[in-house]
This record gives sequence, C-alpha cells and structure tokens, in this order.
Amino acid sequence: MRQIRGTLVRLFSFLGRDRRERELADELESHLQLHIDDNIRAGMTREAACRQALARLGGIEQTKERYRDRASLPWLDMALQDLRGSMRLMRRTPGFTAVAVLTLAFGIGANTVMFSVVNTVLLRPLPYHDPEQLVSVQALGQNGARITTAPPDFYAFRERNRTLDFLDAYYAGSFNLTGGQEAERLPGLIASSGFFSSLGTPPVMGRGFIAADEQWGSHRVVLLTDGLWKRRFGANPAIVGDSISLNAQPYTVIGVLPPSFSFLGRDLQVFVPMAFEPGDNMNSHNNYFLNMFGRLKPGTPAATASANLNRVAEDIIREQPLNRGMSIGMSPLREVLVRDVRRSVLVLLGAVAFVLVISCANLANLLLARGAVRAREIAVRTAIGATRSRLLRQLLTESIALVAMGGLASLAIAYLSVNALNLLSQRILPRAEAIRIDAAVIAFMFGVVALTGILCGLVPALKNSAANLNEGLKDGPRTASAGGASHHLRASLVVAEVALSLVLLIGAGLLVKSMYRLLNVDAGFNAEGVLTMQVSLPPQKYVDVQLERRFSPLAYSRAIRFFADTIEGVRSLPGVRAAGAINGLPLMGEVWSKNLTMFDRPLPVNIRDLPSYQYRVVVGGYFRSMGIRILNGRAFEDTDTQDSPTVVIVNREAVRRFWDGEDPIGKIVSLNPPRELWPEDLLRQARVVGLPDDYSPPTFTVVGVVDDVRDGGLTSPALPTVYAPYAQASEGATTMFLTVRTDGDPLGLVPGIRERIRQIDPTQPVASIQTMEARLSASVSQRRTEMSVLAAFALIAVLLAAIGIYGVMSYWVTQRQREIGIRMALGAERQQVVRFVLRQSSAMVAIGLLLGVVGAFIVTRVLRSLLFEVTPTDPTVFALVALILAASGSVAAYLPARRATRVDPVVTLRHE
Amino acid sequence: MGGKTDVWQGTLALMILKTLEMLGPLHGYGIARRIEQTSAGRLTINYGTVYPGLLKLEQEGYISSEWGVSENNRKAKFYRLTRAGRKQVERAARDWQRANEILARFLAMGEQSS
Repeated sequence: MRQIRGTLVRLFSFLGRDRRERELADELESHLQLHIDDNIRAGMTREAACRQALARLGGIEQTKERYRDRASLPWLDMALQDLRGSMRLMRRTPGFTAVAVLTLAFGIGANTVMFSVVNTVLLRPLPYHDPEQLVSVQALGQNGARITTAPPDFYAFRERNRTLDFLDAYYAGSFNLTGGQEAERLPGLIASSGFFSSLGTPPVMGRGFIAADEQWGSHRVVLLTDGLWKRRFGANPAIVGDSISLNAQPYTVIGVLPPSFSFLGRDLQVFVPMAFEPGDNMNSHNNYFLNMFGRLKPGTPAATASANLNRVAEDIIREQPLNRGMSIGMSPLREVLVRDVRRSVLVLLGAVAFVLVISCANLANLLLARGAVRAREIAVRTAIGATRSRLLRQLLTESIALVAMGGLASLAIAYLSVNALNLLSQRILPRAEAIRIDAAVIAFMFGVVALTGILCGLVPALKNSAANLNEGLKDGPRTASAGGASHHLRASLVVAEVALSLVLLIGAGLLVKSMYRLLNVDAGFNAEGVLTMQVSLPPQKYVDVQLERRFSPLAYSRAIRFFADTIEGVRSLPGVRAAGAINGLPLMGEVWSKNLTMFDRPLPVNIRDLPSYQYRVVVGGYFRSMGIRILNGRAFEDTDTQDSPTVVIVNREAVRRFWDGEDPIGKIVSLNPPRELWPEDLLRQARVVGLPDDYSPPTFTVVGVVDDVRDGGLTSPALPTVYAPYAQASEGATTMFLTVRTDGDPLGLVPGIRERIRQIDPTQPVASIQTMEARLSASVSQRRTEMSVLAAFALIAVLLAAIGIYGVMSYWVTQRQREIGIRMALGAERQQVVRFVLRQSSAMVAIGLLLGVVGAFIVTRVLRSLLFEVTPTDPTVFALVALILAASGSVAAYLPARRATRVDPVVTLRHE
Repeated sequence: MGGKTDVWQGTLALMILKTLEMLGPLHGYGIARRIEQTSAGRLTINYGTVYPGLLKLEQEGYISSEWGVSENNRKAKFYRLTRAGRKQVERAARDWQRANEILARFLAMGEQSS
C-alpha cells in the first residue's frame, strides 16, 4: 500500500522537477560542507578534508543519477522520450505516415465492419430464451426437397413425439384491420398455441396463447406487436380485452408483445392462434402449408429428437400412404434465418481475409523499407553506445505510435461505415439493424495488423549486430549484393499482394458480369410503366364458406364482382392502357402449386403421380398490362364468364413439359384431381358436406399459350403454369395483385385507384404498392449488394497493392541511384532508364499475376453458386482484370522511375 | 543485480528509520555517519547511497523532510519519522527478530544432530 503511494508520487514527478534538482544540489553541497567541517575538526587539512569528503560521498553525478531514477519512473521517462521522437519522425515523413495510417485504417476498419456484419448475421444467437435448444423441424419430400406440412400431420407429430418440449407450427396470413382509422392490411402469423411458450418470450401485457385458443369458436383472439399497439392504438394501456375487427370478424386482444420481439426477421404485426373449423378442407392431407419448429427437451441432442420424429413420420406414413417418402430434417432454428445469405456472406468474409493479408503485407513492406533506410542511423547509434534493448524499445515505440494512429483512423472508418450500412441494407440482410461493432472484432483485427507492424518495425534493430556495424557505417548507398536479400523479401511481399488483389478483383469481376447478364435476361414480361398493388379481400365478407366447401363456383361470386368492378373502374382512369389482376406476380416464387390432370392420356394410378404446375387466376387484361406475349391461340376476354365454357391458358414451359411441344390448343385438362383419384378422407369429406356422389371437378379447355415468365426470380427457370379466368376457377384466391400499365408515372395513378376501390368497398385497404420495376430491382438487390461490396474490397486491394509496388520500386530506385547515375552519364536516354526501372517492376507484377491467375482458378470455384450464366473461369474477366492490375502496377512503378531520371547524374556520382 | 540491490535497499531503509527513531530529526550526512558508526566499521557504504534511500522513504510517507540549520550553523535538510514511519520501524524490527529466531533454531538443529 505504501508502495502504491510511492509509485503515485513518482508518477507525478514531472511536477517540480527543477526545484527537486536544485534542492538535491543544495543538499549534497550541504552534506559535503558538514563532512568537511567534521574532518577539519578531526584534524585534517582543508585540502585533505575536502578530498576525503568527496571520496566518501562516492561520486556526485552517480548519486544524482540514482536519485533521479528514484525520483521518477525511468521507464516512463524513456517511453515518453521515445514517443516524442516517434511523433517527430512521423511529422518529418508525412507521405510515409499517411500511407501507413491509411493502410491500417482500411485494413482494420473496413474489415472490422464486414466481420461485424457476418458476426451479427451468422453467429449471434436468436433473441429468445435459451436459443440453442430451438430447432427448425423441416418436412422433406421424396427427393429430399423442403416441403411444408399438412395440419393433421403436424398434430400427429406434436402429440406423438417424445423428445421435444414444444412443437409448433406457423404460417403467414394477412389481416384487414378496419374500424376507426383508415383500413389497413396487417401481415401476421397464424401459429399453434405453444408458439410463445416455445420461444420463451412472454407478452408484456396480457397473456400468450393457451391450448384452448386452438378450439374453433374460441380462436378469435389476437396478440399485437408493440409497434402496432403504439402506432394504431396509441399505446392504450387498457387494450387487453378490447375487440378489434380483423377480416371483418371481431377479435379480442389478449396481449401485447415486448418491443424487442421479432420472429426470424419477418415483418409481422399480429399473431392469431391456429384453428380450423370442423370439416375445413385446409385441415386435411390435401393442404400443405405449415412450417414447424420446436424446443428440444433439456439434455436431448438434436440427433435423438430427429430420429424420434422420423419414427413418428414412419407411423404417419403407414396410416397415410399418401405421405410416402416424407422424412424429417432438423437444424438449429438460427439457420432458417441465414440460409439465403450464408454463401454470400462467407464469400465476403473471404474478401475480408484477403484485404487483411494485403494490408499486413503492405505495412510490412513500408516498415521494412523505412528500416532499410534507417539502417545507417541505427549503425551510428550502436557505434556510439546504444544498447540493443534501448534501440528495440525506441523502434517499438515508433511502431506502436504508428499503429495506434492507424487504429484510431480505423475506428473512425468503422464507425462511419456501420452507420451507413445500417441505413442502407435494412432489407437485404436479416436483422441488419442489429449490426454493432463488436469490441472483440476490432481487437482481433487490430491485433493482427498491429503485430505485423510491430514485428516489421523491429527488424532493422534485430538485423544489426556488431558484425555488420562496419558495413552499416560505410558511406554511400549499398552495393547490390548487400541490399539483395531484403529486396527479395520485399519484392516477394509485393508479388503476394498482386496475386491476392488479382483473385479478389477477378471475383468481383465475375459478379459484375453475372449482374450484367442477369439484368439482360428475358424475364418474359415488360416491367416498364407497370404499377402493382395487393388487394386482400377478407374471406368472411366475400366468400360463401358453405358453398366453397361444396366446391360450388358460386362461392366466390362476391369476390368476382369486386375484382371485375375494380378493373373496370381502373381502366377508366386517364393514362391507363391496360389493367388486370393475378393471384401471384412474377418474381414471387411458387405462389400456388397444384397437380394437373390431362385427359388426352390415361390417368396415373396414384394421385401423387400427377405433375405439379403453378396455378394462377387472372382478371381482365392481365397479360396485356404486363406485356406478356401471346404465342398461340387467344387471351382471356370479357366473354369468359362464370356461365361460358371453362377455358385455360398455359405457358410455354407447360407445353414443353406436359405435351412435349405439341400444340395444346383444344386439349382438355382438370385443375384439380378427378374423383377417380380421390383418397379416402377426401371422399369422406365430400359426403359430409353433401356433395353428390358423382361430383368431379370441372374440366377446362386450353385456348391459348403465353410466353414464360420468371416466377422464382430472374435466375430461376420458368415453371409450367396454367392460367384460369378468375370468374371460372377462382378457388381460394382472395388475395390478388392488380397490375396496371400506364403511359406516365405509374405511382401517379395510386390516388385514383384507391378512390375507385373505395367507391366499391370503403373498408377495403390496398397494400404493397410498388411499380413492377421496383420489384424487379428489389429481387436483385441482394446480388447487387454482394457485387458492390466485393468490388469495393477488390478496389481497395488493388490500391494497396499499387502502393506496395510504388514503395518497393521507390526504394529500389534509391538503392540503384549510383547505377542509374552511371548509365545516364554514359549517355542513356531518359526513356531507356525508365524502361530499365519498369522492367524490374514488371517482373514482380508478372509473377504476381501468374500466381494470382492460378489462385483464382482454384478459389473462384467457390463463387459458382453466386454466378449467373458466367463460369468461374471466364476468360474475358480474367484477361481484363490482369490488364487492369498490370496497368496499375506500371503506373505505380512509373512515378519512381521518372523520379530516378530527374536526378542530375553528376550529383549522384559525386555523392560517392 | 536486481535482487542484491533490493535486499540492500530494504536493510538500508530499516537502518535509516531506526537511526531517526533513536536520534530524532537528523540530516542526510548525519544519518550516513551514524549508520557507519553503528555497524562498527563492518559496513563501508558510499554516503551518497543514503539519499536515494531517503527519497524512497519520503515518497512512501515514512519520513518527512524540512530545511533547517545544523549545530555549526550550516543549512541542511532534516528528516524526521512520521507516525507511519514509527509503526514501520516497530513492525520491521519485529519481523527481523522473528526471522532471526527461526533461522537460529534451524542452525541449532543442524549442530545438535551432528
């Protein structure tokens, strides 16, 4: 404790240093006087007295020195001295300092940001209780493809499994909220009763779901998210127990969720329990739409749970042979969130590693070069008497100062970048809002680069020993042999940098080319000037449920009327060239899959063997509004109504797949399986609802063929699609997307369309208002981001490599000053000298390019899944990139080359 | 080199404190002289070594200093024990004493058995 006091005093010793020195001098003088007095009193002569006193004191300077050491903290003094020297040095060589700091800033800063993104997206745990125990329970089809689950199967799994504390199912739904303010469409989730217990996130108000909520009749309860509660209900603290109108039905609010709640990054506003009316066809083996997840029993490994569930699956298959081929796959729930972005994020992580290595190489290069330049200074100081450890300490301080400055710069870059990223990329990466700079990440990056910097900074002191002292003190630049070894090291570093930059640049180039190809793909439709919006009709208001269950075409009369009126109203707006509606826009994926029955060939034995197709219902001039070409036959007309002959239009892919390219016009198909193929439970259900015993779904005649449209996205191949008129086959489609083609700005039509709809039904909201072009752009936005980020990294890498080349060549030129001077004195032209220098650098760059190309061949394989119609070894990209790098290298080397010719050869030779 | 100096510094510190305890406030020369006398010539120290030692003790708060005038009218810096210093002397003396006793037993043991 006393020692701490002592140390603290020494710490602040810089205060009053002068006074202390004076006092000590006084004290020592007084000491001597007293001693001399005593000696004289003891009988010595004055002379002898003085001499003896001085001798016994033992060296004034030594005493002062030891006193000073005790008075302050000597190591601190030395460190501060070194630090001041380092700052002076940095100021004296601003170019070097700037480059080094920038290298550090980018190497650490940009990399930290990228790594933080990866960390947030891939590695952070989900915001639920004990998230490691949550697993995604995925049903897999016959070929291992992911499929959704039918409710009866889910109930069976839930009841019979023995390894999960909870098993829950959910599916998305949208709800029209009416009453009070303007009608609003809310995206929501319909979930089984254990949903919130499973996640371990109880509501802040009210209660979560209970088992009784799954009973039809008591199921009209709803949980609100915090955002909705605040926005729409004014954070009313008494909201629990209130009734709100969803889809024209009264729902009781039972609770409000905490503000931090989110589910797999989805935009959700309401949660309702999953319940089916007795006899509802949705709750049968014909309808697969549930996603499942569960919570493992504590101490149960996922493998055991998976095996158990698969056994249950086998039981289910035995009872329901239709499920043949089904199995269960289990994975951590977190992976559902990152499945789509994992690959691209890993690629970017690779880019991070590359830039980090290049930064370190650059830093090493810079420091080694400077070290070589200062070799003389160090030799001189060693000759004067500086110890190795003192020199090392000084160089260490310099390196640390430099690295510290770079670290500060990188923090600034990282902070700015993360803020920018958070603003830009909200929709592209899940949980993007959560990106924070992790202290551990900065520490890691900083550590790696700092270590490199410090080690390389120490090299000059380590290399010098008494042996080469003589060598170091020699005047004039070194001979080629002495500098050779270090030049090779630095040249190798540059070669490595060039190679790595090449790989990065090629990767970016491949992505750029992919992007270009992608945007030029024939999407099958013309997005220019097209407005889209979503209209979700509440089934309770527009669909006659009793009739629907009996598959009566009249069940949807009200909905048909609504859309017919809407399209007509929209068509009358000024500037509208065509208007229509469809239940699933292009680029939205597999909106609705069904199985097609064709009657021009024998029926298959099993209902499962019917081929699947994309089911689309269409209103009005959809094809014309989207610019989809009619290849054969005709489009739908206003004459195709509920009472006219039932017709369908198919796309080119369907013709290819189902009819082998033959002309399908006139062929008969059925959109739903015919009675002969119905399984037992469907027959039973039909009898229950009172369908006649000879009822079979209606047949349709093919009257036209349209061009393929990219359904799953620009990169996915077209799917076989059958379009039916809404009036004739409007099974189940209450959510439709209006498509309106206009001459002017599509968004200008919005108020007019809203007005038309309000005239037909004032409580009907619209949602998802977007131009088709915006949708197109959004569908490639993830790729665009990948491409941009990778390109940015590649450019940084090239810049760093160029700096590296410049540095090495600059030093090389300085080394060769004498040789160049001689050449010029002997009559060499400026150009020849420049060429001489460039030859040197070209050798480095050439080797680097070669290595880089080889490396790229190996590495770009990884990118294959991210590329579109571009091979990982695309020669154009390789050639172009190599050219760019070679050019950069030449420019970087040209500057010192030119500088070399500027020096007067006479001056150079005289310097000898 | 470190170890030897530390031990020496420790004993020197104790000697300084004890001297001040016995003789009251004293200047640096006087302390050094007294230490040499007390050790009966067995210790020949450079008088200069006492000053860093005094500084350390002052930094740790065991002694305090102030300028004054000596017997023969010379200006000198006098040191005196603080209360903490007084306690430290007693404690350190006790520790030394105990260490000596234990060691004495060991050495005696060796003699007995042989």
